[in-house]
Amino acid sequence: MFFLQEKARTHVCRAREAMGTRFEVVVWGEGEDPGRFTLFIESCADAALDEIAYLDGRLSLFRKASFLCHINALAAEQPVRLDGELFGLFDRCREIHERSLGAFDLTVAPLMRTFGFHDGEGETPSPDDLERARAAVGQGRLLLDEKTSSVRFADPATRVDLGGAGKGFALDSAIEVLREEGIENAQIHGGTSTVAAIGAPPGEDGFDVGIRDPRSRGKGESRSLVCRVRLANEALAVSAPHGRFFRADGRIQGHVMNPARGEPAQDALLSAVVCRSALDADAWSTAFLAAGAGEFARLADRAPGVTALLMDSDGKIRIQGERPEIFMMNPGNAG
Amino acid sequence: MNQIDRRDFIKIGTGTASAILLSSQAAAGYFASVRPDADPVPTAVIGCGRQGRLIMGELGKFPFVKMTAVCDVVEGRLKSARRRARGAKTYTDYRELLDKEKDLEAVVIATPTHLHADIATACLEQGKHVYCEAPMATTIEDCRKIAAAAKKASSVFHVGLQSRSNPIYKLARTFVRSGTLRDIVDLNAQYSDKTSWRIPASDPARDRALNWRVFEETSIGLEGEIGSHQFDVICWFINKLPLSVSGSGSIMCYKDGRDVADTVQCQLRFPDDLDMTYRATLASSYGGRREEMIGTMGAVRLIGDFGWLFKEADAPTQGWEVYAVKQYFHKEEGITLIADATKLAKQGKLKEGVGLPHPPIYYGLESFLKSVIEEKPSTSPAPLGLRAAVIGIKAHEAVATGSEIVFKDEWFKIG
Repeated sequence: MFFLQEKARTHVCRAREAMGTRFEVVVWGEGEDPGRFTLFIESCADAALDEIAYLDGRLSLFRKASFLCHINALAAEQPVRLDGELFGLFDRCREIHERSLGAFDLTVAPLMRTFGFHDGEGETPSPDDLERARAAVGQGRLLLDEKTSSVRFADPATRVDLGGAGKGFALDSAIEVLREEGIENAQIHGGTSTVAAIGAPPGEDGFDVGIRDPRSRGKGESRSLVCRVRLANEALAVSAPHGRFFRADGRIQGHVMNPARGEPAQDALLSAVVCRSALDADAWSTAFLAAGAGEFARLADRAPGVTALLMDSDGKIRIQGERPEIFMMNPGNAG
Repeated sequence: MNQIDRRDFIKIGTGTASAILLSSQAAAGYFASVRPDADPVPTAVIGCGRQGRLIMGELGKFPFVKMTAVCDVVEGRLKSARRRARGAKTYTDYRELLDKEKDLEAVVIATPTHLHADIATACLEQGKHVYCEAPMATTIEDCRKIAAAAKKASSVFHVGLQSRSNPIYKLARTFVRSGTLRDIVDLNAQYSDKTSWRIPASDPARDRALNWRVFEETSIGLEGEIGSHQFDVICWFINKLPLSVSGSGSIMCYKDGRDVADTVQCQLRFPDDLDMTYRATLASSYGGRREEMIGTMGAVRLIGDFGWLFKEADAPTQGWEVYAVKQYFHKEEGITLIADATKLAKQGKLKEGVGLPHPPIYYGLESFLKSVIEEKPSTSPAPLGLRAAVIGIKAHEAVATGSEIVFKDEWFKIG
């Protein structure tokens, strides 16, 4: 008689500040030599966070030396050459812009600035400033040239804000780093609003993630949940105006812009998207919130591979997409 | 297109450069003035790890550069390098790269430090312009080998002592050199970064190669890899070389089999009883990176992409400070050092000048490319690289042995 030697199993957790928020990664591993594989998964977790820190340095709107600021400073005057990675990101965003009928738009930066979301908690802009900002917004003002792998702005005031896509893109890249090292179980989130998973925790069928109810005023664990999601080899992104907002005329003015109307999105409280890529999840959740409840069904039809949830301003929940069951509703909150 | 044509473009370009600077984009820099449709300099990057990737990201900003080839021994890195530098050929052996890329003009070397010497000398022997990351090498012999090859070669050899090209550091140095601090009484620098320096490696053989920085066999530690840059800043600012170095270090955090300290302290003694204190750690991020020079009339603090001047109450007023951008650190007022401040002030854009518009590495590459295109000597040539490396190498020896090392003049000579 003999016993099969069981492999030992452990996980490590690491966190780092980047993109104005906190990223946290959990990596599971198993092997016969616990010392060795712990060291290995620790270095993998570090490598994933290094990837995010690197992309923060490239994509941040708030780091003057970032490549994004380089684009914003120069692209109105001349084409700016992008490497394959950045061109891929811009091109994917253009595609989601088209599919979302303009609801997702990289060029909302002038609106974000004029509504005071770039350097504060927000404010009502003057009509002149607002008009100027609106004129600079629109994907049409962002000219991508595949042949020269470059980007140019058609309007001198156009600026790019990767707020609705940068985090997702960084998570996808970090996941790619972990996969290349052969990691089979890991979860990584940015600021608790976008989360991506490889596999599932050992012995389970997915990572359990809760989506908080934006109307709930409690703190921490006591806040009620809209629903739960079990993630395996996919990503979830949540967008809500209550992330950052100010009040004006008795209305909440949130930090997600409706590019078509040129003002903060009004008629939804929360959107959540599950799909393969964190970038797509991030961008689509922004698009659904920006477009609002009236456009939800139409846009969701144009989003292949995406399952989405939207809570309208009355708190009513709608779900669209191939796998509605992925959003597991709490009893009494089923809309 | 040949070199002379490129130079002509620069001449055409510089005429319009001021216009571009005035029209809001100091960020465009020197090369924005160069016509983008001219034939670019075929350039290769050897070493596509973390530093290599930062370099590739910045090289892409120069319209005058075409990344034609990349080289790394790790397949995964080549794969992502291929994605970033579209159209570049990939190699796993730099010799093959040099053999096959006949049109190559410039090479950026960002491999592990102990591998620089063979690669740099091979590139120089083939007449390539070379940007070599600093420290130049991990032994004095290797540094000399590179320096000798650079002396023989007619191409540009540039050591990546980035601070020497950093506009904020260059400005700060003019203040220090002109006596704004009066008598310098204290020098210090630090580097704190909470990161293990460990790269994932599933098998032991790969581990040694990838994690060269944490093993004594291949590494000159924090004081050598990072400290040598910071020691060089101090030497450059005060125009002096250290007389001796002592140090100590331990593995405080990462007891993972490494034998290079993750937390170190060094003391460098300069002429006139001037001392420099250095501390570096991978266990904490507190305080980040900084170099400080403290004098009887003020102090300078530099942190890579920002710099400040602090003045004593009895320091003479120079006039311009009144209009300067200031930042407060508890009870101290720091005058922000801004490159091109006078020009920006005239445009009422002084605030926009705070902080560098590019990462420090950009300015190192820019300076190198300027030498290549204008056919001028490097601003950071091999003898400077040798000097900085020697100080780092000896600081590491001091830390590893816990002893004091007196510098010998001959160490700083090419041979």
